Amino acid sequence: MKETRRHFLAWLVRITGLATLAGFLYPFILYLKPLSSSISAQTVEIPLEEVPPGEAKIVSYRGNPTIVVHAKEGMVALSAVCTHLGCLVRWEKARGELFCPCHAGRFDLTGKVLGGPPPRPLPKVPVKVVGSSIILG
Amino acid sequence: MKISLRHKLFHWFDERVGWGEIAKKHLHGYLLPENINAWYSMGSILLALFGLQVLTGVLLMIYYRPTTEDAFSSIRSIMTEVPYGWLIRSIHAAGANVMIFILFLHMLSTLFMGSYKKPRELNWVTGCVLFAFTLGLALSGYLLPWSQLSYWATTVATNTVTTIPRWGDTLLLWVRGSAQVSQATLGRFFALHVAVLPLLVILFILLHLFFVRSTGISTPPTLATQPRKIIPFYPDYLLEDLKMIYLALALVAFLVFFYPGFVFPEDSLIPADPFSTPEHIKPEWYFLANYQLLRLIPNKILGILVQVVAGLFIVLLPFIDRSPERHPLRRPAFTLLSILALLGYIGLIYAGLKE
Repeated sequence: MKETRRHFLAWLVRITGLATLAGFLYPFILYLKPLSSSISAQTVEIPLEEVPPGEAKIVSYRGNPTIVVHAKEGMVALSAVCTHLGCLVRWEKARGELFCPCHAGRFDLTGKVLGGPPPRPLPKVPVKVVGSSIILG
Repeated sequence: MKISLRHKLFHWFDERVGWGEIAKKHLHGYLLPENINAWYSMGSILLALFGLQVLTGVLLMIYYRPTTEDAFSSIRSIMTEVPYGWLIRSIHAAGANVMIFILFLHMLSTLFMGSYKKPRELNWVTGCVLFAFTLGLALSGYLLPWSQLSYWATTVATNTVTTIPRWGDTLLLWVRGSAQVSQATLGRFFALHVAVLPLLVILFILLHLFFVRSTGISTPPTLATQPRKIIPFYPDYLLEDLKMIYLALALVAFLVFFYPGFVFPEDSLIPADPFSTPEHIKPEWYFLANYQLLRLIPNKILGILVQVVAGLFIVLLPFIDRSPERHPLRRPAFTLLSILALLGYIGLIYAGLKE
């Protein structure tokens, strides 16, 4: 088909419109992009007396809630974020399990799912006891 | 004869914008079928309630501060220090509940009376979109008080996007603006709640009304002969609408004055604590069935997939059910299945409330 001046102008208007849209869209998308969070210290130190034997504590490790359990087997640290829908698990001392109150997910101290809807185990966080401190990371 | 100032003003505007003709077309000249009943006032109730939500929402914005440090205390200040702040906020919260309840009734009457069928498919689809936007408004409004209920309901709701294969985790980050629900999430939800969603709702209300006027209002499929169009919208049917609007306002007032615990559960009175999920967190009644289904179906992806498929089925219903028959008793299979689905939905809500 022979291109006429009218066709050319119609295309020019469309391209100009698209370019304008793209010009606005690019900064809009970058504006909405999640800001990179300033990751806090690579390691987190907690005084040992804050987690007595049989007890647990939730702390922030690299911006994520992490549960530290002082179990019989030793110190255990796992992500506290339930892999089902993101609620925080809590330590059920009597049962020796981690329990999510939102949808009744249950985990053991290795992070393995014991019951309920969570699809994946809780990720482990490196932990050690140095003197009178618990070190995460 | 002396012409009053009111008439002079009317004629001055009429000469320029022709509003006499507009009023004739859309008010006293807009004739409605004789057999429509109170169920047909649901749309007007929803319009009135949306207006009430906008008005109370704008008033709340004057004192509300959308930061994680100040949100909860600003809400507390509205409730305890600002004159009649408790009333404005209570009406806003109760109005949202009543609006969603009436939306359910509006959709159910459309469903059982077969009003979604040809030529009203687009009325149904825009109505479903409005329903989704209203639930979006409710969800985004949840977070703003930055209470325990706000925080954890939003955590669970936003986490559902992680079921999307491959892109789920990235999408969650974009929805929240950060890994956990935070200031970035509050800012996004505030913008959604006060600007983006209300504008979309207004746009879709206009589209919905345009389709309703283009196809004509539906009538109950119970009469053998086509009813005559004899009732003018103004003033006759508008008065019927007003009766129903006042009934809905009475329901709002009942919740505000006699049942405040329904709109403000215990967890909504505690400031958000990102390190402690409350013992028995429950979403609002209109999300309870979805929440309960996630508990019952052990597989997360399946639990959400079932809800997505059910939602799509409802939206696309006019294109799936193409039979012209609208009378509920002359399509018993559909009516029975709809009643069972409705009972199941109510059952899930009841089970959620009892837990």
